[in-house]
Amino acid sequence: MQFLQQIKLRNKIFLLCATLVFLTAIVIQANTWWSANRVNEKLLQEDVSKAKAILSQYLNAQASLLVTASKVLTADFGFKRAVATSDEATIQSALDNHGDRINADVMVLTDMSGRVISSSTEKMSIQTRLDDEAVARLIANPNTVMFATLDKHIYQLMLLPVRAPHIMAYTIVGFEIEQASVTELKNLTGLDISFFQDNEHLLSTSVRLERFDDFRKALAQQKSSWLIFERPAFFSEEMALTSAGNEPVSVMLVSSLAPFYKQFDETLAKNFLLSMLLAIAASLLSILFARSLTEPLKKLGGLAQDYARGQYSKSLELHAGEEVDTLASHFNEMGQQIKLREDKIRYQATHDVLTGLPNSGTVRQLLFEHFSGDTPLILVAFSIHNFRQINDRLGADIADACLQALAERLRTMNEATLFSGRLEGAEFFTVLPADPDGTQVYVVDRFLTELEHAFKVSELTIKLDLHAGVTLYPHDGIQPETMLRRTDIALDLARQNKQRIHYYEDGEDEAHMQRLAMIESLRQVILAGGNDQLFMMYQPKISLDYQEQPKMEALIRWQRDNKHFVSPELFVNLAEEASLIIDLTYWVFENVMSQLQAWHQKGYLIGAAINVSAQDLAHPEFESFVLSCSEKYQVSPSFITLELTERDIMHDEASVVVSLRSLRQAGFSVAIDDYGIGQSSLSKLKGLPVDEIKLDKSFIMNLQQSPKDQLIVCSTIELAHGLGFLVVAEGVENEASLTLLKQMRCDYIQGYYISRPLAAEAVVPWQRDYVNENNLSPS
Amino acid sequence: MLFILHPSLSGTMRSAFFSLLLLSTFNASAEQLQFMVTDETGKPLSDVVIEPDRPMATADESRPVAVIDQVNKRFVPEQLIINAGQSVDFPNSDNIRHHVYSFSEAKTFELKLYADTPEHPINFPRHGVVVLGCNIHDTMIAYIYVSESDQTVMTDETGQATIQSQSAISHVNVWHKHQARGPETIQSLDLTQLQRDTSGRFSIRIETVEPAPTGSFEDTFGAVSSAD
Repeated sequence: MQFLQQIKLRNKIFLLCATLVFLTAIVIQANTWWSANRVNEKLLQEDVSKAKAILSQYLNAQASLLVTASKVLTADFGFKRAVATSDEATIQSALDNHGDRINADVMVLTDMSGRVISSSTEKMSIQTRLDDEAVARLIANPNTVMFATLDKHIYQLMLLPVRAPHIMAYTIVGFEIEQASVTELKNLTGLDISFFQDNEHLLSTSVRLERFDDFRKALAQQKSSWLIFERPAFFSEEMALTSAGNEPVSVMLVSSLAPFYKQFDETLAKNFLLSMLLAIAASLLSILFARSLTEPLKKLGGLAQDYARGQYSKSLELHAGEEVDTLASHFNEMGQQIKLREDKIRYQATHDVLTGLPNSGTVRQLLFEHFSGDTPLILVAFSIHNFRQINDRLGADIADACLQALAERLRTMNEATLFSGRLEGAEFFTVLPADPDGTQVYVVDRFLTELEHAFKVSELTIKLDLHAGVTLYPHDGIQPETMLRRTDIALDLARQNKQRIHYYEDGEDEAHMQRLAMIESLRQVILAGGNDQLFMMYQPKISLDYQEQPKMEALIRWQRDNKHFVSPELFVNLAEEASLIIDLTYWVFENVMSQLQAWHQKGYLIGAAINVSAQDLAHPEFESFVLSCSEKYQVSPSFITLELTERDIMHDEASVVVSLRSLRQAGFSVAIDDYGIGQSSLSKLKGLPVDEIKLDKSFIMNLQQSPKDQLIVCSTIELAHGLGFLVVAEGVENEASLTLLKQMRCDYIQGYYISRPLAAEAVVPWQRDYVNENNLSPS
Repeated sequence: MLFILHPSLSGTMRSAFFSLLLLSTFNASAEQLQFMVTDETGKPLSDVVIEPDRPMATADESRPVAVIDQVNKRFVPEQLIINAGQSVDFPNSDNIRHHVYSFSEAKTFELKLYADTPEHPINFPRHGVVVLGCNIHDTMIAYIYVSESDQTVMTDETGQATIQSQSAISHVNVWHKHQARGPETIQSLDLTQLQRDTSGRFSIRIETVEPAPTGSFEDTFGAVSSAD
C-alpha cells in the first residue's frame, strides 16, 4: 500500500476505474464462461439422454417385435405339436414362416439343454455359432431380450420356452443390429453410435476400428485447440446392454463438441470485445474525471502557495462541482481571514496596544524611511515628568487615560508632526519637520506648549509636565539608531538637569557611552571581588565629650584600572542606576566586617558605619546577608551603624521602615545621612527606627560665617535631641565650627579637622594616638 | 379313518379299540409296505405316486369313468390316478371354452375348443403319465397317472404311504409331477435296494425342480438397461 500513497491522484482514479472495469470484465467473462459451460453441458446431457431414449426406444421396439413373434410362434398349437412329436419338417417350416413374418435374423429351436434342434434354414450358419454359455444364459433368463455377437455381428436375442404344456423346448428369436439401422439412429439422434463387445468394435456410424480401445483412444486424442489450451473434441457416454455372452455388450454415444465450442467461443469473443471497449471507454472517462478533479486541486494548490508567499489578495473562481467550488470559496475566505489576522498581528507587533501609536521598533523603522534625503528633521523624545505622581495618586486607569489622551492629541494636534510613537512607559517620540529658517527652538516650543495644555480625563483636569530631548537631523547624526540614542540621551539630560527642553550637544553621546563603559568596568571589578581597585577608607567620628571610642565611617574608593580615582558619588550613582548597588554593598560589608574582625582580634574594638541604599534595603536577602556576615566575621551588630540618606529613607518609606526596624532589633544602629537637604521634616522622623541623624556638611562647612546655618543647626540639634536622636555633624573643618557645635551640644563630629579618611592600616595608629591624647581607657 | 382318543372314554371301550388295532396289524402282515418319501432337501414330499410293479392281467374297461373338471381355468383335480383302460371325462364347468390336449406318449389326444361335456370320455389304455394342458390357458396343467395296479398309493402331506398287498412285491414305480427326471418319466425301484428307517419304512428320495413360471410375457421388456 506504500506505493499507492506515492501515486498521483489522477493516476489513482485512473487505476481505480481501470481495475474496476477489468475486474468486472473478468467476472462477467468468468460468469459467461461458467454459464455457457453449464448450459452447454446441460444441452449435451439432454442430447445424450434424448439419444439414449431414442436408442432405447428403437431397441425396445425391436424387442417387442421379437416378443410378439416368439409368443405367436410358441403359442401356435401346431408348432407345439410338431415340437412334441419331433416333427422336424413341420418345425422347420414353422420357424421359417415365423421368421419371415417379422424378418428375424435368428430363429432357432433348442431342446431343454440348449442343444439346437432346428433352425430356419437360411440362418443355419448362425445357430451353430451360438455358444453354450450364451444359450445357457438365455435359458436362465427366458422372455428377456439380450445381446450377443455372432461372427462380429451383433444380435438382439430372446428366448421363449415351448410349452406342451410343460416346457419341451426353447425358441430363440433374434434381430441383427445392422449398419443401416444404426445410421438411421444417428440421423435421428444426431450422435455417433458405436456398438462394441468387450474390446471388439462391432458397429460404428463414424469410424470402426478393430479394437474399441483404439477407438476410445482416438476419441480422447481428438483435441480442439483454444488459445493456449486444448479441450476435448468429443463427448461420449457408454450404455451397457444386457449381454447373453460372457463379454459385456455396450453402446457408446459420441457427440462432437465442435458446435458447442463454436457458439461458446463466439460468445466469449463478443464479451471480450465488449469488455475491451468498456475498459477503453472507462479509462477515457476516468482520465477526464481525474483531470476535472486534479485541475482545480492544482489551482487550489497554487492559491495556497500564493497565500504562503503572503499574496492574500489572490482569489480563485472555480466551476468544477459543488464540493470543489465550496472548497475554493473557503480558500478565498481563508486568504481574507489570514490577511485580516496578519494585519492585526502586524499592527499589534508594530504598535503600542494602549495608545495605538507606533512602538519603538516601528519608530526605528519609520526613522529609516524618513532619513532618506537631506530634509532636516527635528527629533523630539519627551516624557511626562509627573506621570509617577499621577499614577500613584489618581490610579493606573487615569494614568493610562492620560497616555491615551496624549496620543490622541499627538494625532490631531495643529503642529504638523511627521509621526509619533511611544517608546516606553511615559516616554514618547515625535518627528517634526524642521523650520527652514533654522529656528527650531520655536517649533519645539510650540509643539510642547500645545501638548502641555491641560487634559480633561474623567472629569479631571490634568496638566502634564514634560521633559524633552531634541536632536536635529542631519546635524546630530544620520543613523536612526544613533539619532534615537542621542535623542534619548538628550531627554535623560533634560530630566537630570530638570530642563524643559534639552538640545543634544556634541559629546553628550560620548559621555553617555563613557558612563556605560564605567558601569561595565565597575561590574567587572565587583565580580572580580574588588580586584585591588576597590578599597575602603575610614573617617573617624568622635564624640564631642571625647569620652567615647571613635567610630569609623567606612568610605568606598575606586581606583579605576589602578590609575585615577573615580568619584564615589559618581560610581555609586552609576551602580544604583545599573542595579549593581546590592553587589557593591555586599562587597563593602564583606570587606569592612573582615577588617573589623582583624582589628578586634588585635584588641581594638572599633565600630564602623556603612552606607546602604534604599535599593539594598529593598533587597529580600539583604537582612539575612547582613546577619550572616556578622556571624561569619564574629562582629557584633552593635559595632555597626547603617547609614542611609534622607532621600533614600523617604523613597519607599513603609518597606524601608520595616527593614530598618528589623535590623535595629538585631542590634544594628541606624543613622540618617545628609540630613537637612531633603524635604522631610523632623516630625516625620519621629516614628522612624533611627538612632542618629547626620547633618549635611553643607550646613557645617560655613557654620562660622552663616548665622542662618547656625540657627538651622542649633534648632535641628535641639529638636533631634527632643525626639531622642543623637546628632552627628559632618564636614567639620576648623576649630571654630567645632566650638560652635560643642556649644550647640552636638553629639558627634566628623571632618577633616578631626581626620581625613584613613587607609585601613592607618586606623589603628590613629586610634591609639586618639585614645592616648584623650586619656580614654583603651577599649 | 381317524380315531380320537377322548380321555372320557371308558376302560372297556379303550380295550376294544386296541384289540381292533391289533387285529388289523396282524392281517396286514402278509404284505404291508410303508414308504417315506422326501425331496432333495429332506422335506416330506406329498402327492408322490407309488405303484407296485405287479401288473394286472388285463385292462379293465368296466371300471367307472373318472372325471377331470375345468373350473375357473383350473383342472379339478390336477392329479388323478386311474387304472389302465379306464376312461376320463373332461366336462367344462367354465363359461369359456377350453382346448384340452396331451402330447404324452401314454395318450395323445386333443379336445378342440369345447364347452360343457365333450361327446365321449377319453379312454387311457396304456400305463404311464399323461400331462394335460389347455392350448388357450397355459397355466392349466393336470396329470393323469395311468396305473396297472389296484394298490397304487399316493403319499400324504407327511410324505408317507402304505401299500397293502396279499402277494410279495419286489419293485415299485415312483412318480412325482415336479421330479427332476421330467414329468413323464416313471422310476422303477427295487425294494431290496431301498434303505429302511428305524420304523421299517422304505426311504425314497426324489429330486424335484421348481415348475417354470407358466404362460405370460411379463418382464420381456427392459432388455436395454442404461449404462449409468
